[in-house]
Amino acid sequence: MSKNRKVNTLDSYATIRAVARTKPGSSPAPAEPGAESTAPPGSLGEELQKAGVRVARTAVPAKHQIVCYECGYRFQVHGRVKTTNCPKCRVLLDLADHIIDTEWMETVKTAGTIRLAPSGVLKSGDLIGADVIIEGIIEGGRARAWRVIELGAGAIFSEKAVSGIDLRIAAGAEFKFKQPAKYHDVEVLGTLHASLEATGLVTVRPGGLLGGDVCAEHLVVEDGGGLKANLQIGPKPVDAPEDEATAALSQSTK
Amino acid sequence: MDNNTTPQSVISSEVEITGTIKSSGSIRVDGKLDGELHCTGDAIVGKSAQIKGNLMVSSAIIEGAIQGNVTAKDRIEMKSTARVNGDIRAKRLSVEDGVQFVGRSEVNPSGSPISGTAPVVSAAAAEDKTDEERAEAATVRSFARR
Repeated sequence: MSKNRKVNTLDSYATIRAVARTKPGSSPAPAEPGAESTAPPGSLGEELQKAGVRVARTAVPAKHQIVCYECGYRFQVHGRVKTTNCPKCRVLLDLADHIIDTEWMETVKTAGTIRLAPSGVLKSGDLIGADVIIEGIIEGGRARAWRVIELGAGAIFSEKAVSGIDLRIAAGAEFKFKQPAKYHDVEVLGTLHASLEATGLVTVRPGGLLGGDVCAEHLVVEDGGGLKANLQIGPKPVDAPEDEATAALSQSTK
Repeated sequence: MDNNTTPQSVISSEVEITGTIKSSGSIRVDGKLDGELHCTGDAIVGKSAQIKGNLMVSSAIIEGAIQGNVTAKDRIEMKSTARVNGDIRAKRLSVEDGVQFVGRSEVNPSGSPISGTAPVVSAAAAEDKTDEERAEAATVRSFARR
């Protein structure tokens, strides 16, 4: 192994550290005398430009919101990674997205998205993901989303088999819930008839149709959206049931 | 309907009316109205407006408080400051975040029947059922898969 260590990876953090280490006057490419400074006066960028350091724009990796499927802890990850450890419970988390397009009988846990394709049939096992898209059939097992559960056209399931914080009804989908449903945010692009209680925002997009009984704190109906329901919209002096939903999810995952 | 267009009739915020208002043009209400409003044109219910009674209009922009039913031939637009306690009926509806609304809504621009949608049924749920119920579930399932 050579004494001189070569740095193969150059990320944004390394770039910032390199700029910070650079001494005034040591830069091989000094700033042109006639060039106008784009940095705000008094900022670090202007000081570096005065010192002759050429500062280029740094590409910062995108941040991703991750929800640990074991403990429910929410944190951020920079850049694209396939796995990471939960900072709270130290469990190795799978961040990949999965698509199930055949008969499936195993449990899938991921902090990414799980999509049960129209040809997919969940015979048994659980689908636990940050976002879960149901377009196929759930004959056994359950689907639980830590964020959004999306119900697409052609999905067949029992109401007890799906749960999530937020609900999205995809365009073209038609569902009629027999039991009362409780979610935080609800987005309707298709047709939904339910006794719905939402602690957050209910949005009816153009082409969407919401019916039944709706109790929510916030409602938005975009032009072209349909609303044929008994409504109770406004602030409620009740404790946020989101915590209950989160507690129910965490209990069911244990 | 544009909110900024000048309406033909204006009930200003200092005015309080008890009775029925009939207007063949557009009207803006900023005051108090204890009675019905029949308007063949457009109606704007301002932020300071308080209406106790039913509204029958061509289209309505609601920013104030209404205790009564609102029926519009064309469109109802509820702004974030709107407080409606009653039923609404229109061809088209637009609701901003922040409204307070208790009542029934009858707005279906697409005209598709909502009661005929397929109920959610799974094969697992049908396991403990009779043959008749199973057959019904299968029918529902085949309908839903189409």
